[in-house]
Order: sequence, then structure tokens, then C-alpha cells
Amino acid sequence: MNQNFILELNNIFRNVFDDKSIEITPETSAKEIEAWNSMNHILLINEIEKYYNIEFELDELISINTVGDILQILQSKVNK
Amino acid sequence: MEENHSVFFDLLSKANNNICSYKHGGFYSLMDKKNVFPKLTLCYNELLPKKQYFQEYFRAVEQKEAAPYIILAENENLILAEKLLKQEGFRAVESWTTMSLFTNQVNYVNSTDLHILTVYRAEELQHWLSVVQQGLFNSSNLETTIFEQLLLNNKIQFIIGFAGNEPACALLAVLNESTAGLYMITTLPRFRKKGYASHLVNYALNHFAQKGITRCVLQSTRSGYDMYKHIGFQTDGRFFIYWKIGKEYM
Repeated sequence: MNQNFILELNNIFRNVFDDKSIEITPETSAKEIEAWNSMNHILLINEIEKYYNIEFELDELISINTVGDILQILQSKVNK
Repeated sequence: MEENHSVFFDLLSKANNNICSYKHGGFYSLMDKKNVFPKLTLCYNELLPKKQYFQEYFRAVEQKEAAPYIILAENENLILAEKLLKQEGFRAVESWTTMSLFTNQVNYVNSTDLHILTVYRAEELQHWLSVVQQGLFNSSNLETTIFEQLLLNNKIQFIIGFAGNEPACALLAVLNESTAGLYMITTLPRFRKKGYASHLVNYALNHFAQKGITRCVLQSTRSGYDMYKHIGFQTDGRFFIYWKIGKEYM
């Protein structure tokens, strides 16, 4: 399941950050993607919400530091 | 708390022409025309929440006359306000807790190796700026002239902590009669988890108490909340920051 999420998230990351070379892993953090700043973070979450038709709580949104954090939330919210 | 924001906004706008502070349809707004503060363009609503004020505000955002950020206090009106904001494409992106402390409750003892001073000279201000730039703005360029202007204003105090010879932590205080608002409290990443920020804030509280300030207020992010609670700050309420989502509103 995680692998599916990673592939789908990778496309979302590439679109939001406009960088086709991005290859994410669960360990990928904002430090490794230059464009992953606080504003783009919100755009990223917004796109993930639209893609999976889910809504992140504010606390979840603020607590995300890595792709792994996003995966954990997706696992709890998305039925696959 | 609101009054302290207004004072801060007014001082900022007087110190730099690229920042304007104005009231628009009941919202007290700070517009940053040229990113003087990267990502720090805020609106603050004084009156909550009349539908027509929001409609005026939304129009102003569309016309780029008002910032696409708004801070709302958590109160009985928030549900209606949030509904209006969501319809316009805003969402909550951050929350702050407003906290305050009476300075007579402070008993300051510095048990760290931190050397703290109030900034009076341009050279000290450069150290203060380097900490704030790295600690709060991810090393983005800050326009320094605004702080040089503020240094001349006796309502503003810049406080900095040095670990050895290295600047390590900083804060800015806005004094308004008997109240001080603490802003931009930050510690450089390599100096975190050493209790420096806590000592810096305690120093400021003690310093202001001696100047006749009886109450200090601040807005805490989640990461700072436990520290301020430990110092003795009490929770007064919460603010939510909403942003109109979209690349065109960055």
C-alpha cells in the first residue's frame, strides 16, 4: 500500500514543486526539497486532499515533517 | 493583545514605506508590498465577524489591496467566520496560543552560559538580525533598514543572547504603556534544547519589570507552548491563521 501511495505522492510532489526530478522516500523531508517551504507545504497538502478526497486536520497539517508523516495520515484516512 | 498588535503594526508601517497598516471594513491589516518580511503579511480583525466586513475584505484581497492572510480569534463567532472563509478558498494553516504573564511573578536566575544584552548599537543589531534571519525566515533576505529605524524607537527593544561569542537567540519587544508584547522569539537550530530561549524570555520579563512593565503578552506556536507555560505564562486564548490557498496568493 505504501508503495502505491509513494508513487502517487511522487507525482503530486513533482507537480506542486514543478520539479520532474523529485524522487521521494518516506524519509524525504523539507530540508531535501528546496521548494518545500511553509507556503508550498499548504499547496502540497491541498493537492493531496483533492487527489484522495480527504481533509487534513490543522494539527496534522502542522505536524508533518517528512513524507513518512504524510503516509501515516494517508493510511488512516484512505481506504485502499 | 489586539492593542499590542496595532501598536506593532503602526510602528512597522512608520519605519518602512513598503509596509502599510490600515483598517479595511473592520479588519486591521498589515500589507507588505515588497516582502520586507518574507511570509509575514498579516491581517487582524478588530471586530468579529460581520458578514459585510468579510465581503469587503474578500473584495480587497481580490484587488490585491489586502493581504490574503487573516488571523481570527477562537470565540463563539469563529464557526461562522470559518464558514465564510472556506467558501472563499481560505483554510486554517497555523494556530497560535495567546499567553500572558504578570511580571511580578518572575524570579530570574541565569543558570546557563548565555550572555544577554539589550541592543543599542548597529553592530549588535546585525547580530540580532542574523539570528532572526536564520531562525525565523529560513535565511531569506530581510530588509534591514526597517529594524535600523525601529532601533531608534524607544517603544521597541531588541534583545539578544550570546553563547560564548556567538549570537544564539533573539527576541523583539514592543512596549505599550504598562504592557510588553514579545515577538520574533527564536533560537538558532544549533543552540536549541539548551534552555536558552527560556532564559532569554525570563531575562526580558525581569528587565521590563524593572522598567515598570507589569504584564507581558506573546503568541506561542505549538512548539513553544510548553516552554512558556513552564515560565509561568497563562493561556488567554487561541488565534487561527487562515490563508487563501493558491500560488497567486503567495
